[in-house]
Amino acid sequence: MNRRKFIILTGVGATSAGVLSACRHPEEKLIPALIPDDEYVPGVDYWKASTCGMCDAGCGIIVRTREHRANKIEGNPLHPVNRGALCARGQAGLQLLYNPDRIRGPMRRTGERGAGEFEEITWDEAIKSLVDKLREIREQKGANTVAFATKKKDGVTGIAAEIFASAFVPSGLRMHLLAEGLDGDAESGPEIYNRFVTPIFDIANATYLISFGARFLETWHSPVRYSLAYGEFRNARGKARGKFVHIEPRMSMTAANADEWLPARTGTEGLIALAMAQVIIREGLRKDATEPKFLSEPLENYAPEKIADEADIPAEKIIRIAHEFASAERPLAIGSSRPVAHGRENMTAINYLNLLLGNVNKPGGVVLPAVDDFDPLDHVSGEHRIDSLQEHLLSKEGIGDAFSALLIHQSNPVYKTPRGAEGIRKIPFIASFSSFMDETTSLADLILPDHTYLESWDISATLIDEKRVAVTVNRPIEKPELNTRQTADVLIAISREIGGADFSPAFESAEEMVRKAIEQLPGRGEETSDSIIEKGVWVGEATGKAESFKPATFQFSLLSASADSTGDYPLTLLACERAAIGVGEHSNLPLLQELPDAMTSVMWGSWVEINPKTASSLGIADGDLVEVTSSHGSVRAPAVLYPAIRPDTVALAYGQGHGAGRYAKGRGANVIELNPYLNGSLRRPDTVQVKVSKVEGEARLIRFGTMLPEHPEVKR
Amino acid sequence: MSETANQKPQWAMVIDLDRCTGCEACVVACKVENNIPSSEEGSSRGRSINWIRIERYFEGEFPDVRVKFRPVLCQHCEEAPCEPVCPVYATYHTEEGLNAQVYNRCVGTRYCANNCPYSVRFFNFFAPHWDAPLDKALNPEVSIRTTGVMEKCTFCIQRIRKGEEKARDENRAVRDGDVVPACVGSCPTRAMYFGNIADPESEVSRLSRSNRAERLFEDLGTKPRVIYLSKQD
Repeated sequence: MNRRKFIILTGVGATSAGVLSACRHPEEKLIPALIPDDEYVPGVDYWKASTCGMCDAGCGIIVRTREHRANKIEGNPLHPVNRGALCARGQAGLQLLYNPDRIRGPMRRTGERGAGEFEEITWDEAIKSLVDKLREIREQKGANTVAFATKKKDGVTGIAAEIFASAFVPSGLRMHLLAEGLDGDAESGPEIYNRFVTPIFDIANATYLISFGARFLETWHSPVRYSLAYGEFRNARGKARGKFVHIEPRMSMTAANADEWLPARTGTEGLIALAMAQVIIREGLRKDATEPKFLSEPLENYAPEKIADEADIPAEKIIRIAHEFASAERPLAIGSSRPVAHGRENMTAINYLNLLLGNVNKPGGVVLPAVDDFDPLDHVSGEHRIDSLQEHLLSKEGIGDAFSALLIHQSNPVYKTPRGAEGIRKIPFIASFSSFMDETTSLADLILPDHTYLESWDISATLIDEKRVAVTVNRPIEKPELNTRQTADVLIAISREIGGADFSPAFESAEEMVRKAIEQLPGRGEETSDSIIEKGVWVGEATGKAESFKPATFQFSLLSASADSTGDYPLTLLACERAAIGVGEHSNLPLLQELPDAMTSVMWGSWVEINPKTASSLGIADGDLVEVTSSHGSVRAPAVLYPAIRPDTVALAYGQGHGAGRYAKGRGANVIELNPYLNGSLRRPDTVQVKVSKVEGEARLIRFGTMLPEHPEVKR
Repeated sequence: MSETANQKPQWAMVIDLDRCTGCEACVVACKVENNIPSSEEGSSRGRSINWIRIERYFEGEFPDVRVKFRPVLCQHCEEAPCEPVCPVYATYHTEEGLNAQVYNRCVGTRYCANNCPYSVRFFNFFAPHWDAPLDKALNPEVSIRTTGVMEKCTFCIQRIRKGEEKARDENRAVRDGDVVPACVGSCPTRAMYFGNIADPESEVSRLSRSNRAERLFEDLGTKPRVIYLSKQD
């Protein structure tokens, strides 16, 4: 179309109608500017507050919208968790909302299971199909039960699941509720602090920080919150620069920011903590220091001189750091229970260091909130009884024979717990509520797609200091993009059908739950619900119970706990969670695939990090394709010679090797195939023993910046 | 109101390397705000576009390895090497000290990128593309550049204009907080600061007088408007 023709067409009313009808969705492009509705002015930005759903940290967000379309996500400056900042993952959230691979509406399977053939149906049909199926199962008295599995037990989905389960009660059919990540957080240190509460670590005011493998700048509890604290720890006006020591077998991004990095042998974090404690006690660096009660042998056996070889850190170094730590004004020790199976034991030793130095509930120390938990939905619901999904998937019997139907929400166990996949395939009926066609959803018989977090209602709370809590509201930014429905609402609709005339659900919708929870916030005062929803956050005093408990006698030895590194599998593989794509939840977002890895700058794929010395002894060069084999399986990926990893350790990141999603499919390798218990079992070990060898084949390795070849086809 | 009220503001950025952790939140914030496409094809040929990037420097051998991160974006040099080489005046200096790129003047000689010591200018070798409906997330205030055009960091000129308009509406000079580029706003450790360096009271002015202040390749005489505060260790 040339310019003259364009002016003629658009200038004349009669023909411009022709242009309009030629567009596929003319109302999206032209109508808003011509007939604006009275809620907005075209060309003006409207910022709306909600909660980030890209991880569970609960940062407040504000979303810039124009002409009813979201076009940028930023941190909510009013929110005490992230104070206006937002991480890379949170910034990419719009690519979830507008992802081309989202499921557009409800679907029913037409071909063989797993063949990926589906037909679109209406919501009425979808709900009827599911209700009919559930009734059919209910009729078969004595038959197996139905399971509803979701990612996290909290929030409106948890309450809706409970309503759903109670609708079955009169029929005598037990509904099984399952959720991911019910590991019981060993990092909270219940054995040390005698409380079941996640402590707040006052990194901002600490002067000496030792991290035993806690990647608090990337993943861990709340990356933005602790990054803000780290900024203040480094330099805040009127405060001396804090010293930061990090212990980890591979230099992560967090380790790279430390003043001192100690590449101890994997799993020896607890040994080092006890060695430091031994130095502090034997040299009388702290008055009234008491020996730990949790050890089954004398602390003396953990002297730095005795464990130095095992930890592969010189005794002098441990002694020096123990001195520095004990003499610091405000020392703080943090840790991660993840890398090894004895993570809980390690964490007990690490938390004991805090107790030894008496920094509990002090500035720069470990802050134990006054209440165990604060759940704004507690006031509108009963007790949840939810079991662990992973435990079921990894159980000996498997999940296949246990259930007649599996209803799965925001969880992708076929990818994340491949060992349980066979069991899932055996379940006679699977309904998925996923927003995306992922590995698990492709096996479904019925799909009832959920909204993304930017289209949903929810409410959550985060304890921000000893007394205060931040209650964050998640509300739809705009109308739903596609023909999806919030799963909580769908569950309530199904409950009503199943429960019959006598059953009346406690809530009509997720929105009602959220509004009721806000109305019942204790100490809300004059503030209206609408004003809280508009701001996205309410900060007030946390109320609830605080129970201290006497831990059961828990005694252990860490002296024989380290991994066996001999035999057929001489190397320890460390599976790392990348800040950008996590354990594969966000692999289908091109922005995050293209984000260079913080340490190696690799993008769009997987890679195996190997120490150059180890690589040279195995005849592996940078960029070679290698095969990593464990006793469970093997994966292939290009090698990256990485100078900051122990020679007896290799590393591979979680998140790639997907079978679905146009930006994720067939890219890299899924490290979980090397150990079915990776990221899945109760103790979450991130390690497995492997061997690595060079193999023939083309390695696709894309790195940012390090080489910018003018003619990439020419090998140098 | 200070005496700088009648002058044009002089925009500058300060980056505290002691706070920067290399997390790359700024990288994604910039791509979303400025409509920068992602492409595996472009990345694999060394053509991915990053107006801001994190550079990493390894020192030493195992176990004594140290790594330093440095975010690098257009330094908005006062004596910019990219400007005099442009034959069509697409690359020029604004009165506010911005090193600007006029996309519809650019004819793609790439002389400017060759002459830039910081490698922060990016040529559009490929047509930008977003699979529908990812294009719905595009920022309506930033134009999409076409094939054959050079592009680079603008210090979020669209945000600068908004901040200046707001100050003018309120009949005052711009002050700290009026203009927050996307990268600065996202930074989880608060390592980045942006403001008017001509105002001696501004945060960037104060920090630029720090004894930790340094400029990248200072000895080239480019007079960068991005000031780094060196890492303390």
